[in-house]
Amino acid sequence: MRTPSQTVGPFFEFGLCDRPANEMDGGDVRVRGRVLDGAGEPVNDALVEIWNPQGGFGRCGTDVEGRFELLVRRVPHYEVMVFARGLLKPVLTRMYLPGETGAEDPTMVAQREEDGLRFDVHLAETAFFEL
Amino acid sequence: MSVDPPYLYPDYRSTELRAPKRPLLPLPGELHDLHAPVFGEDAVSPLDSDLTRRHGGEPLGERIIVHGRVLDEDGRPVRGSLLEIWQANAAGRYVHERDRHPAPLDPNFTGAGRALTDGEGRYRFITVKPGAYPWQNHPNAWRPAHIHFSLFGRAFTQRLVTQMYFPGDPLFEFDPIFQSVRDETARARMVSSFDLATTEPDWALAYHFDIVLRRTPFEE
Repeated sequence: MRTPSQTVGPFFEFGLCDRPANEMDGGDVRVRGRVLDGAGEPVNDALVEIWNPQGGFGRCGTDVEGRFELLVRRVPHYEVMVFARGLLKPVLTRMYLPGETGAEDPTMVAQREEDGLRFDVHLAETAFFEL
Repeated sequence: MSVDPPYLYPDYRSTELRAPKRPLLPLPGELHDLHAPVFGEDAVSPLDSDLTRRHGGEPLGERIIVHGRVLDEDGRPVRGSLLEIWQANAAGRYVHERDRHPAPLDPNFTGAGRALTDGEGRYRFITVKPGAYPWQNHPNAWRPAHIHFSLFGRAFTQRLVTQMYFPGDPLFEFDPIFQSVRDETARARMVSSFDLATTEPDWALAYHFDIVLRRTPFEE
């Protein structure tokens, strides 16, 4: 039997974010977003991981406003995993670039901003995959 | 019964506003082919696995060795994969600005470490036993002593964040995070065992903790 998941808790930052990992090698797309809870309030203690399906990984803790910012290499879509206090196991969604086809749900499409992309994760509204 | 806890577990109050509300979509099949990032030896120094030697002096508390193997569900060792740990100090206090527990910080202890598994999936940390600490979930709520573990494995689907507990902790039955794993055998997977054979006489006690990830979905 495998080992069960447990929450990352509120105090992961000094263990998981002590070395900056929010800029992938060769990254050219800036992704900004927020993590929001079921009441629309910012989740200020989430860990956001972005996995490039062609290789490459970045992660970032959210700030007091629930914001995160990552620099990624341009591909059609990314896997996005979010951990937090109150999440006994991570949630998994996808972020598609605007204009890309194939999104499993409209909540998985990022919005274009002046200097990058915006992708908010609404824990109660975003579509997630079964892990 | 599922190994993992549910998203919504009302005894753990923070799950109420954070659990997904929409039905989950099936996992896209191609995610089984996605490899975990590879962290080479340059990402980890030997000192990273000894949490007692990061500062000028030795931390207070009970010095312990925590070791074990990382395996997949087929019993195969997961080699060369990154483990990251973080924990409270011996007094139950985290090095984090939002930790308001009125217990002392230890200038000789940060409480974060990392290691790569060897050719047989083995890892080993030296640290101090973390203290239990109070939290605000319900009146007189205390977390059992635990060490947080983050693992990448070899595959995307093997990513795991969990907590390692210590055997015989009297707080188990009152802790909703531990109890959120409903299967008793699965809960036992999160509890380390005392390991007399690995203790170092006159120096440190030892705990053994094997971690089992989902099966490796591709041949290496």
